[in-house]
Amino acid sequence: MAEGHLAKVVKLRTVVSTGAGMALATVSYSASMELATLVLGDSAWIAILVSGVLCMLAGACFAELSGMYPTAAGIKLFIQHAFNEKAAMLFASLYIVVALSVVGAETFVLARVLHDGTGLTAIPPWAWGLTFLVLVLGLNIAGIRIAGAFQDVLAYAMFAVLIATSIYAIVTAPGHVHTPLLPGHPASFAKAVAVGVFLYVGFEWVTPLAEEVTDQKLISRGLFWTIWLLFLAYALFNAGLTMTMAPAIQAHPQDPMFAPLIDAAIDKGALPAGLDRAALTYDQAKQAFGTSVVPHVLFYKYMFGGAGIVLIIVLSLMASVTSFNAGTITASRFMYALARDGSLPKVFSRISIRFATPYMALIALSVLCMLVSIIVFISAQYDPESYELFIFLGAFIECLIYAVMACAVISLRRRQPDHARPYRVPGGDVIPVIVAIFFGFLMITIVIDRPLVGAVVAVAAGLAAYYGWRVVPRMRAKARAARGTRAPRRPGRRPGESEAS
Amino acid sequence: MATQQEITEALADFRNQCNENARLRKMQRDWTKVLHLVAEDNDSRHTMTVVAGETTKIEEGLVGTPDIIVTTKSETLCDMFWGDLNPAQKYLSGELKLKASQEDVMRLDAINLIIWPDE
Repeated sequence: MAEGHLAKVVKLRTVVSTGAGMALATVSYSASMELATLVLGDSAWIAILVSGVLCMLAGACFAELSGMYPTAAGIKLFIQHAFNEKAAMLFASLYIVVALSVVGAETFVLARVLHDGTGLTAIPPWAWGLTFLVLVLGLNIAGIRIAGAFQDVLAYAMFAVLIATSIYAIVTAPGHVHTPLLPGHPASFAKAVAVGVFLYVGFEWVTPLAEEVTDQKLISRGLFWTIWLLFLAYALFNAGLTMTMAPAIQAHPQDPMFAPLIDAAIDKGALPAGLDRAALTYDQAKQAFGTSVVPHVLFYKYMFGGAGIVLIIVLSLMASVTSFNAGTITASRFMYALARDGSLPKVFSRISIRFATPYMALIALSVLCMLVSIIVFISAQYDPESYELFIFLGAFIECLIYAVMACAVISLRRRQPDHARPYRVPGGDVIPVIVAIFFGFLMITIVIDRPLVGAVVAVAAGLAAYYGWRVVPRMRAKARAARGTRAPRRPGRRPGESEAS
Repeated sequence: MATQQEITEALADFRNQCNENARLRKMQRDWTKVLHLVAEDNDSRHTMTVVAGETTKIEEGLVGTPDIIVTTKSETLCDMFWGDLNPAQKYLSGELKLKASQEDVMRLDAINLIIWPDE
């Protein structure tokens, strides 16, 4: 019997569907429109392409690291070996902040989709959001996981519908393509690329699948194809969205669907107060449309009427469920592992005997998600676009993580030059250096535009550092002491001799 | 370095611990797997077969097509199946390598946790 071959292995199509499904969330549609407002005309595809290429280069770094340490504990392990345990705890904690940021924005946008799309306005958006989170918690505790062939079908169907409807929108759009090769001011373009990174957030969560593939190169190939699929979907969606809705707003500025958007754009200073609404330019119409929290609902409603609303609600639910289900389960198992390791309180290692799931970790994560969502809903009362802060927060930390991963590749090539590397980023250190520099640059761009993001990350990093450097060592010492008093069961071992720590 | 025989003894005890633990049997009632246990520092190889939560067979050598492959040092394997170490710590440090679904990775550690709960 040859070693190393599992009965059931994950195939390339599942690696791609997992990564792409994780990245495509309901909030991605809103972020996509945000990106479109930062560039001229129909040139958003350039920002999406640039961010996609950067993410692909970052993905190459992930692939090399994942090949060296094919484990679901990946991120923490990569950093631990490349730098040290303290750095690993810090960045693993920040990664959880990314997840919570995305959840906050995602729940808000999904709730608005359900609220606005169903027309059941008696149910406030926050109730939709919390109901969804509770439902997902229930599914996760019951161990119901969208996986395998069902996941593949769901994810690919979602992308097929998105791409097909986008192509239809492009083909039937009135007028011509506007400045597709001229994105505009470099500073705005850099911001657009930063938002573009957010669109791909989660693609790297395929690395835990390294334990379920027999050929580690499937992970690198999977990361590559995931990015291409996401680029195709986002670029086409963005083009279909702007090419359809901008001319529609230009043609019907007084329409009840569009007039409030123009008002909102004027209120926030995106459009001048004395604007001639009958003579909106293409980019002005985009700015107006960009004030909608749910531009994709308006887009599908405009394109397909009532059927479009049903379609986008289904697409949004599919996008959210695939992201939440996989993401929360993976995060809860990581929390469980950290609790078993002594890095988190023991309570998070409790397992449901009935469902074999880490229910306390799931509950804790869900409570955190609900708290973040409540913050978003409350802040939206004062500023409807405040959820964008969470988009930029998620993008900032992801840029940081990608830059750190690139540095980890460089560090490990020096610390462990002889370690097996099934996949090696080509071109020596050139690509990791490019990744570190560009994502570092994007981080600076985000903080200049949104200083609050930097403040939040600094506070989160401070708390994570205190917890990881002061609290965790004490917890682990206590756990080690408790184990040390237990007599070893292995025959011939004396107390304290075993590796029970 | 633990020998093949030492690991076999550890697995025999582990099998008894698993089969006599009512809570564990309940949790694993729908878990049927073939595990390959590989010592990376010597030739020690074992196969553990679990059917509906009951560990039915422990064999020396690699038999059948596995659902889970556990690879680590022989001493770690031995200590782990005697319940003398925390597998999650070895896993998070990269010393314990697994090829399995995420659910099975967690269940493997949960077996250890249920039989030998942390104080």
